[in-house]
Amino acid sequence: MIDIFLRKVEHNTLGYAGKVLSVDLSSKTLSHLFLPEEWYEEFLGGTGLAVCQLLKEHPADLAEINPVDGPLMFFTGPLAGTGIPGTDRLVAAGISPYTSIWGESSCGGRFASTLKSCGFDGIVIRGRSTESLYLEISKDGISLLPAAHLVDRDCYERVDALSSGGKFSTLVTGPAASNGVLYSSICHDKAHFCGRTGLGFLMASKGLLGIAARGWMEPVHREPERLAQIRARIREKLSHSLLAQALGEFGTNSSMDIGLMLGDVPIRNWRMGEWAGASNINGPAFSESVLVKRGTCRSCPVACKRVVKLPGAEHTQPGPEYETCAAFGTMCLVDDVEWLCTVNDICNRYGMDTISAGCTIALAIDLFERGVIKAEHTGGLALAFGHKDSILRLVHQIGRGEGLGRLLGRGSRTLAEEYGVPDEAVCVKRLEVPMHDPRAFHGMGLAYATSVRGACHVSGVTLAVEQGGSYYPGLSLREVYEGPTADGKPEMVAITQDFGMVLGSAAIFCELAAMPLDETDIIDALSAATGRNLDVEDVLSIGRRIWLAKRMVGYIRGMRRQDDRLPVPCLTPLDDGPNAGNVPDIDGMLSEFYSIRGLLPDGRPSNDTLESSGLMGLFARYI
Amino acid sequence: MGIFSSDRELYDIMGTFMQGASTHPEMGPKIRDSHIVIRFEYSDPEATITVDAKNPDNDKYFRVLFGPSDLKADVVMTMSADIAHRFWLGKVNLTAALTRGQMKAVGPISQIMKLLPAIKPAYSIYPEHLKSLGRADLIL
Repeated sequence: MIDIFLRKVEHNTLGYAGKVLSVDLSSKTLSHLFLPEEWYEEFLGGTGLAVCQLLKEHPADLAEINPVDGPLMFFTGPLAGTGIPGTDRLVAAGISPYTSIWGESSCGGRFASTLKSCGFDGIVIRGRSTESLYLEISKDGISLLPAAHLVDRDCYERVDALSSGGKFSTLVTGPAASNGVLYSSICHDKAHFCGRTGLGFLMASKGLLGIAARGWMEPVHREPERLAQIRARIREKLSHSLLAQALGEFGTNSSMDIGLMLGDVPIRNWRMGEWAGASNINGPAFSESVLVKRGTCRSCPVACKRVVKLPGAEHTQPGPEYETCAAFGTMCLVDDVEWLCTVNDICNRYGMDTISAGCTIALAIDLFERGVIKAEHTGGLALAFGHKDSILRLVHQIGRGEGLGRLLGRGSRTLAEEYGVPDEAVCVKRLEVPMHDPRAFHGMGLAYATSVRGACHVSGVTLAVEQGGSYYPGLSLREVYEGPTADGKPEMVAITQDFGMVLGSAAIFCELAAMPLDETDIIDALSAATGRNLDVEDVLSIGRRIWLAKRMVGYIRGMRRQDDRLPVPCLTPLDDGPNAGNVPDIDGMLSEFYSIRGLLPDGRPSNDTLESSGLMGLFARYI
Repeated sequence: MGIFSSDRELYDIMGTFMQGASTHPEMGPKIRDSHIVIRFEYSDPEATITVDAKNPDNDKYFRVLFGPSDLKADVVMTMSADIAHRFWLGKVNLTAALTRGQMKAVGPISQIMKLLPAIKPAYSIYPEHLKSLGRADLIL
């Protein structure tokens, strides 16, 4: 039994709980972990702390370690628990079993502030248990408990089993992870997901099926009165923001219509630029038919989450977000709101990333229609775009690890490789490109190509800046960027990656709630929570350091310049739509980006770059 | 000087475009189905166009009124005439224009968002309209 009331005062007064819960599943032991103070100062929180911990635990074998033998880490940021909208953010991190490089995924909800009020900045989980376990954290104690009763249940049922009627905040994996789906997610309280890079598979592979936490301490922050003022200012900004209102009214799917106008929405496995059916699954289509309630993360007035109820259903269920509506809707040519709610619910219950699942299925349909995949490979199942029944059957096959689903559960890249068409996979570093077409926004193309976890739309603020939703006047960015050009993009991408590393990846802010804010709001909040007098250059330096550290993890795991690429379909001009004939000049942008970033021709950050970011010590053995 | 030299020219070009939309088989029904009154208030030159989808004419999907109107608007869009012109040509990023204040929208967000599917067809219709008026010189 560990002393759950132990606090480490130095960190506690700086916006942190000051300690991390260390869990060894092999020996079933629990202990406190105290991170070096300079990590908090130089890496701030979230994945910044996680990447340091990974390097500390695997200083010599990082290149060859099997992802499932590495740690699974959960970290919060210094703003969790402040009540500032959009700051109850949790990141999960580790070496991805899906991509084999740095893996991370974040979610909102309430787990981050709950963990803080349990007295922890994070949880580091190592080893592997042969019996299924769950972790329970409360003022009554911290325990690893048998989880046999969870094994045959889906994610929602596991949440119900662990939450004690909502008293505990929960993280669970689902049956997809046990059935070999490499892009399995981690489900938080049924409504929030660490979806990307397969960290649910990592969690389940350790024998850990769930975590339930119930806090009891008030987080302490350096300047609570100033924080209260900042909180009020941010709430006021959100209340007047058209973007925040749109998110509240229609959820993240509010971006569907504007995305269609701009050519941002991928259609029919990235091969079409227009599709009339898309307007049948826009934000208003959901709000006017199945929406019964707006859900939210703790303390956030934006309320972008959807709670829906289908005709004839007894219960409500979480509704799909934009990425799901695009992955299963526009990508698979299904324009049925109720069906999208159903497929979202099924994926959630299995516990698998809807982006990877939808994109892999869209690729499978495309290959089937072109005769690459044949009926004998599908068990006689005829695949076709818009064919809801066959798509749903594939979803179940993936979740259960049956039939063609066993292969589809390993993702687009493996599917394409298996059929001898690797260039057909719309992935970067084996992670499916999310639902924003880089042919419309060339900066996003560069951001995808150079993202440290594979194709990602949230690891920087590139998308919001390039599409015009966010403006950070203090970051030396232009006020407006034209989407389908390379003009100014390499510099913009580097800056927005650095800022995004702090904003999202260091577990500070939700990128959606932060869209109406500017850098002053973010930096003021961080300064007030930590007692540090941070400025723009401090924050960008921290972001750059985190980006470079993760980049180095990828380099050590074998990523080179040739992996900083866009998939062939994203470099193939469309015949129709707002961006017909337009493709990004990825090679040109990449050369300029390498120069700005201080990267060597093979993709490694130069010694000077590492030195100037204070990273030489961490990576000395690898250069 | 902006693209339009006078409010008369704006009405002759952008106003008649909206009148054309009121009978357009793709745009018309989408705007009609919004059942709202939307007022466009332009500057440089100053002009006002009101689209009334609450009280459609018999042979049109909605009414288009030029100049000041007593009709109560559900949504008011304010922008310069140049931005409006560029917008109908598909040259303005709506999100950026709204967040930077180049366009201001006042009214229920749910009603504003419902108009979006109606806008996209305009990107191809407006240039054709300019050509039909002999004003291809205004296509940017």
